Amino acid sequence: MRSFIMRWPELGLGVRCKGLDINQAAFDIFVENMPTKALQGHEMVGGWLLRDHSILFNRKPFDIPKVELSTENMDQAPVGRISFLRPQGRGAELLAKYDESVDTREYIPVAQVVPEDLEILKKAGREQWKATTRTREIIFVEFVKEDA
Amino acid sequence: MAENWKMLQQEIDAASERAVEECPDDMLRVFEYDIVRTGAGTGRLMMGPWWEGATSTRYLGSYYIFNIVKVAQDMNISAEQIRQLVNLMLPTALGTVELCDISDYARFTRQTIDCINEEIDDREDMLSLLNSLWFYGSAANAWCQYRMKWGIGLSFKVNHRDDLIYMGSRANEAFERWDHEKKEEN
Amino acid sequence: MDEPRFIIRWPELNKQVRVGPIDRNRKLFDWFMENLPARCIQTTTVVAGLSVNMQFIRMNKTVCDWIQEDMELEYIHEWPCGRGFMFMTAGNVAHLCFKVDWVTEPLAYPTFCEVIEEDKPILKEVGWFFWERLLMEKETYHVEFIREEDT
Repeated sequence: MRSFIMRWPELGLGVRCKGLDINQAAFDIFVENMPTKALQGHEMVGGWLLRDHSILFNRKPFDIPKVELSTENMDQAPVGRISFLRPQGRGAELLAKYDESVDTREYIPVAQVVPEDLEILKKAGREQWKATTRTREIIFVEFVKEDA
Repeated sequence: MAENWKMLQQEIDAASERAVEECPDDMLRVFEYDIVRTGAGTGRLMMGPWWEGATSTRYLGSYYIFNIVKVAQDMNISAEQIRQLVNLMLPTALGTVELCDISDYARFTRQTIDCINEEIDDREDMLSLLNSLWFYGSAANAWCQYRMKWGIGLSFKVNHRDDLIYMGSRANEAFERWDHEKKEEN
Repeated sequence: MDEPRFIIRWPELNKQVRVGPIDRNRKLFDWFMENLPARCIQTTTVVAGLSVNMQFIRMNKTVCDWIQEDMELEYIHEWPCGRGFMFMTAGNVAHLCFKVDWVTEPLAYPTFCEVIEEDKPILKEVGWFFWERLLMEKETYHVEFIREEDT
């Protein structure tokens, strides 16, 4: 099964993410670049989204032309959706939707958190929001292949 | 067929003339009265639309439209290349301007992109419209910079060398009565 | 023959300063003069130090035909208070700044004019006045540019 783990060591939390029927090549490039790590940020305008501004593609650059990628509007995306923003070359932004969003712009969906882990994703989201707005703790996110 | 771009340009120019005298309504609404009709502002924190709205306004005008007008001073840059630059550089920043409900500037920009894609083929016409948008964008940037609630910043002074030396010399005092470091068992 | 000058006027404050060319970038001075009178709102810089900032001056008569990087550039932290430069100027829009007080930014810009010595205290006074207004009160203040010969 095509899947990976998104985990937050500082929070002691992790979720399992599965590939979609669309953008499978983008998913494969992402997985090929794992393990990878980023500073875990939070969306401050569009709603309840975990946001990573610098996902590094260190092993295989992202080379899929934009026209070959499917998109969806973030406000319409299901909770648990993992999406890319501006993937290109060595990097991309990544968003993980853990509750409502008002952002009507298009993003590139690549994976979905499995239903049994959605509550964990929400907990991670709430903890990160608390860190951003209150405690200022630094939280990192790691993406690893599921067999790692 | 009526030339929509000329009507749009007249509208932008008229809005620009007003902006020389008074703050555009969208800037006033977002940066003074903290009203965001799109629902933007995670957790109802206004800081998000302020921050992203101001930066995307600046990027859209002062970094993107400005540089397109500037590079087009080179007559070797064709109408098609200007169109490509418009489609490459403006939409992302525009999306954030729209989300932050800076609505007039967003509409002017959206309609300018539409006119350049669908209606205008002449290079000088294209630049004329972009030039009008560039002026309005400069005004929008000036107004959001002016309306930003800088007074909040009075609580946060940039520390200079002497401040840091003083703070460093007294750092140990912060731990005399209470150790802030996390304990192993925590 | 005396050099031409322009006047910066703040109508709501009933204050003004006189500005003349300097020994560089005369092309910019002439282009700016050619397009006067002009008017916009007055703001100040908030990052690099204190300058009065005029971010959207409409150059109605002639379009910009120069590129900032091709001009003679000076480092802002090195030049005297009262000196003016253009920045992000293209098409029919000029963005003009005058250094009012300390500036920390080690970047180079095309300078082209300077407030005359006897008017520099006025520039400093209004610069700090606008800084205070930027923080909280936010009344709108305009700034006007006119050729001295037209006054």
